[in-house]
Amino acid sequence: MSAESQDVTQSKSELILKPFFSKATEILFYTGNTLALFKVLKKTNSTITDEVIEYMSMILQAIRTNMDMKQHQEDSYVKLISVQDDEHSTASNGATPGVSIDNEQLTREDMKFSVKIFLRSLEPEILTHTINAVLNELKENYVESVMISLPNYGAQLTLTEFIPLWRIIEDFIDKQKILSAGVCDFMLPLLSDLCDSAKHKPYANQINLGVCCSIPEELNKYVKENNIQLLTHSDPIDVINESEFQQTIREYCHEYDSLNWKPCSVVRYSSVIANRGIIKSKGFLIYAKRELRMVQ
Amino acid sequence: MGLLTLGRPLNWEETKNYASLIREHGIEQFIHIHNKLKDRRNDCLKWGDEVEFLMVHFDHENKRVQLALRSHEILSTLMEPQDQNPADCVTLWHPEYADYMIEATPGQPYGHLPVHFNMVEANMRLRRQQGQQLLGKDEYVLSTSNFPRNGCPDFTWPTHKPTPTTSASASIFFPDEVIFPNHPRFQTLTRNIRLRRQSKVAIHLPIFIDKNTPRPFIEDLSIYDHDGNSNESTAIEDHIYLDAMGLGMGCCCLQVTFQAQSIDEARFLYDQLTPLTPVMLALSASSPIWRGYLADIDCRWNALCAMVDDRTPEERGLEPLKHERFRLPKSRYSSVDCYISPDSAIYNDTEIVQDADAFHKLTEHGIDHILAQHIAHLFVRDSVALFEEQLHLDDTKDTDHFENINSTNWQSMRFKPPPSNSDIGWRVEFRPTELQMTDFENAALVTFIVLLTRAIMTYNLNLLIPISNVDENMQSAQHRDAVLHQRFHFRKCLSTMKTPDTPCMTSVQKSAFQENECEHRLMTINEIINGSNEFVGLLKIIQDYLSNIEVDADTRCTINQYLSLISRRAAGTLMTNAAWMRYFVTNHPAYKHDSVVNDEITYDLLWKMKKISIDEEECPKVLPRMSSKTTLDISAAVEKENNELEVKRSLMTQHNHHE
Repeated sequence: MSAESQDVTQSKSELILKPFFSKATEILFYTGNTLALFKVLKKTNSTITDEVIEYMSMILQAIRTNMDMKQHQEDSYVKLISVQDDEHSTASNGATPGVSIDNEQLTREDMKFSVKIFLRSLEPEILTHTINAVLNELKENYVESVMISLPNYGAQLTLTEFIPLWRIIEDFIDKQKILSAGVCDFMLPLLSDLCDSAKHKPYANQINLGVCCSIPEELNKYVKENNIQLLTHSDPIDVINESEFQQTIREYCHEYDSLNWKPCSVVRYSSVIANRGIIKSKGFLIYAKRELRMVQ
Repeated sequence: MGLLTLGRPLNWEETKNYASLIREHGIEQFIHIHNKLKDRRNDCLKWGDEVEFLMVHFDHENKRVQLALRSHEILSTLMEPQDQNPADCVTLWHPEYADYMIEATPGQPYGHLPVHFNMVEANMRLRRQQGQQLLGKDEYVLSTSNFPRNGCPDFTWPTHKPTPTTSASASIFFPDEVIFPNHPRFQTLTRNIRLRRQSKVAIHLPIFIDKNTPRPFIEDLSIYDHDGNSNESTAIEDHIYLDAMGLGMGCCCLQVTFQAQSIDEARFLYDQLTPLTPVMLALSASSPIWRGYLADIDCRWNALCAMVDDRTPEERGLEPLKHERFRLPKSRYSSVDCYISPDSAIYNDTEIVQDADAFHKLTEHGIDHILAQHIAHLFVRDSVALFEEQLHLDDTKDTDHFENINSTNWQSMRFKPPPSNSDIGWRVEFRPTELQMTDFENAALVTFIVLLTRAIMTYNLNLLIPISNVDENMQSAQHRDAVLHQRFHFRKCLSTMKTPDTPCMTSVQKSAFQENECEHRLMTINEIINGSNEFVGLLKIIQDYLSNIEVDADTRCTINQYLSLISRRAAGTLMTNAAWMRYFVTNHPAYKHDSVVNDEITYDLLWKMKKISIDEEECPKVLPRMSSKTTLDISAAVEKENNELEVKRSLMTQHNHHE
């Protein structure tokens, strides 16, 4: 290919002539703390899917604007981090901008990190990779709570299918990288089967808000007897699918950059000042893989 | 109500002579406590509600309902547990102005756990039951802001006749016997306020003009005056006349108190909550009936301001200033006059009357101008209740003189320094909310306000508008059906300017805020709460906050129902208490469309409210059908989780030390 002369202020409608990451078979998007981007004019009740696509778009837009073609050319594992993360460290003693109250130095003990992992695959190494990515990008030695949400294959999930994943979680708990872990949308008998087989029982089961006022009596009884918290969420089971993921990349990058990606896991994390109920940070990680059939 | 010191109350002449002493020492005490405790850090943002109940007696044979003067008989029983073991109570009781009122708070303040929101209503219900247990046959605890026939002939049980020539209030409607007798504070305040003012307190509330209301409507007040001395009582065309502290302080309200982590946080909260005072007043409106007449206003606020107004004619601007130090535009019961955080200075756009000596003393001792201004403003008021035994205090240890003035400035917000000899932190009281007829509604209002403060602090929002606009809003909020018809100044863009420059944010900020554009505009309550194409809506901000914290299913269910109530009331699909009471009256067979709410109508109204409050009857125009999942039991699981985390943290610390 001949050398291109790129216009630095290329608008969205102009064509991208070369792919940014043609050799990538794994990609990780990490948004950093999105709380600093709180947009009050926009309706704040957008779904998690809208949020994820929005943040991916922001990151891709920045790449497009920078037009640094060399950066990811040779990478097989591409890590895309939100620009503002450079200015605001996600270390636990970061101050929040715009606060007129006194800025006290917070220690790690004051914070509580909660992580929800939406898995789109039951492959154990995806889960392992995802948890490690979270710990690495957040620069934390441990997180207090991990909730794991599983793909909906239509049929009921069996314990046999799930237990390898729970063993991975238990391993992280043994290494004190995760302090407590829970599950999402489990009904009986799966929940009781898990508790019977588990070394570390789930501390919570997160159920959909839509049913929080009409919980089955049996389930209610079981959780109360076994000291499991019933928490709530308003998330879909599937946060972002193949076509949404690929389409988002397609809007900002070359066609080859978007081909064949399968999102494997989406993570939403948040940190709260433990005694105050005040959220300090919130962000997302999106991890996807693809097989490369075309070489540029 | 405030400070209950013991001892002999001074009469007015004696009290007047001590005005300067109290002022000087009060300022000394504030300086002392401020400088000693300005760096105090509390580890948790705590909060609690305060509910004032009425007690009524139903006479089924004669179809009338009267206020039951039982407080002096039952309060000591209610207070036994806290007298013996204050650290271990589920509820705490306090006396209030009238002998038909009892006031209580939860025994321990609520904290940071989401599950605390699920306890509020259950604790309120428990307090109602505890009071109810001690009452006799046909006597009931009720929660509403204003007893509709307060001040009407024989409005209490037992009955008493007003004695205007000798009573503390000189009222032709409100006998002294209705004032709580077991503490001299309330009578003392009543008498001293009137003596200082040099006349009875007075207000004229606009009457609601109905089809058959006499035009003009003028009360013949001579029928109330048994002692033939009515020259001080004046009726005004188309208005309802009130003339006693008890007709204002005898109203009930719903308060929320926050204990901040630091003084700066307390000042921040005070400011951010101030623009919300008119919004909550409008949403909670429950006082449309006064002295047996339908009024054209729905709230108690202005009536209360007037019923404790101790300003002399000079201070009120009726005569030129000769003996008094200041012209005072407002009563000592009023909406706040200034914000108190340094960043808020630009929003203090009204002139604030201050005691100059106090201001200088405060600033000389290191207190910043904004806080000094606030305190110096409070201290333009004289003491109106002093006790002999408490006159001479150690300013380095006691705060009674400061509290004397601070607690008799009754404003829509109150900033409270820590009491001496305690580890309680800097606190803020949110005071405008009217009392609703059910625990569910009261809990909903409290939950809404607390969640909103969490969201404001999480997202670093700014709700401030010029204080003059807040004052305008407070007047708008009291209009009949303000929730449906009035518009309120509200800030357009709640995010602060210090957000990072990303492509996305820049475009949003630009369109939101051009250079000379006004930061606020008029919005309906519906738009403020539920949002619109142009405004995010307070509920959406709260929902966003909730989606980011771990909340158990029962608490989430409860909160959802509370927020649904607020949403629907703001949208007008559910009625305020005031609107419903009007509806009840105007559809009552005995109502003659002449604005008169007689004994029979009041009896039926309050009987129905009693049944609604204990779930014997539904009220779908005001309340949704479901009931919440409120409970006093904190789930064992939550406690367990917290314990586990503590254990693991200590393991981690050990681990880290070994590395």
